[in-house]
Amino acid sequence: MQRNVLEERPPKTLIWVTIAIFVLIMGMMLSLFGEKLPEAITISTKGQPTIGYPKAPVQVVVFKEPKCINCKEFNDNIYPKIKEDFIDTNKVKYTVIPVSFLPGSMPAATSLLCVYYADPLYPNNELFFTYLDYMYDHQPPEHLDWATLDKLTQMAHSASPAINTQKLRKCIERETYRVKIEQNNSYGRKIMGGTLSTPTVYVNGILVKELSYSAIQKLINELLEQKGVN
Amino acid sequence: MTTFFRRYGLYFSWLITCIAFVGSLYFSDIRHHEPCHLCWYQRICLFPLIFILGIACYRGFRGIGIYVLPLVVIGLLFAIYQIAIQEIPGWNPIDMCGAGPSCSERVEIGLGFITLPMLSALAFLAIILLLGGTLSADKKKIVQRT
Repeated sequence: MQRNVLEERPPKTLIWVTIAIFVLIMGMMLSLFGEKLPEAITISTKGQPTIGYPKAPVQVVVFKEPKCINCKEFNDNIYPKIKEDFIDTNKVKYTVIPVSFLPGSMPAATSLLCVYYADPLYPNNELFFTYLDYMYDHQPPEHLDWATLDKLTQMAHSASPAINTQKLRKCIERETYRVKIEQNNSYGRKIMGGTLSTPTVYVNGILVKELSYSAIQKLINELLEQKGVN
Repeated sequence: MTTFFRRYGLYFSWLITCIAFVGSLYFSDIRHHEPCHLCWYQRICLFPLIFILGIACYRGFRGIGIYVLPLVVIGLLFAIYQIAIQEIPGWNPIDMCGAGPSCSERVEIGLGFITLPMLSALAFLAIILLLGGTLSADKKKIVQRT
């Protein structure tokens, strides 16, 4: 009987050793938590409109379609915060890759590049973003076929007096940058694995899955921390 | 066998719980596979056992099995259900996943055909067998004594 009582439960040392090993493993794991970021892809942004400090450690790349409503949402609500917190503080450079796939948006997309390449030798980043912001600020409903020559030149004119509307009109009419936009389309499709969707945001090549400022902010901060900035 | 269960049944069921706990956190927080709703339900069934079984094991309270079996069985059912919706294409009778990560998507974890719900089901099954064995071993002993 005495022997049986002793056999009723495992030795307490075994339990303590198990607890110790468990705590040790958990402690080791805690230090690994949250360290690995999702996989990054390489995005070529050469010749794409970019603002911010050229040597900024983090680059945000956004695929945008001029007629898409969510791109407007992004531009109205998320972009200003990124600009204030990161672009204006030289931590982030910000690139927009204009694409076009919604019906009737091609003239709007090419007009953006017309403004950007007004002087083909010196693409004007500032002017591109001024015009883009204005376009999103005053974006008519998506179902309207609003991207007409008149509307676009009027928008450009109101956006900045620095835009030569005569030249812009010609450039849109001739569809000078249609090929470039189509290149952007196929490049975006390739990167996104077949389907082009906008707005699509990459932070140093990492796709942002949840489009909110807090998610983007968190990712940027983690990357800055990795690079020893902050 | 009876002696083994009487002595170590609770200990091994607790050990499996600990391993499953560590594994679960490993896949969600180190390998970054966002847990889906069904995964959370399975975690709800599993995580409390760390303390319950640990303390019961330390104090040699073999009767604990009957208290935690409902939890473990429900966990197993969730795991089996998730295996079913992952392995049978297009079969998803009750959408329990809501917004968030997909429950029916098979996540590659580098173990061949073995998926996370299979590991979960295996753990729950092992805990059930061990606790069941412990309970029946305990019963036998009582019968012998009377």
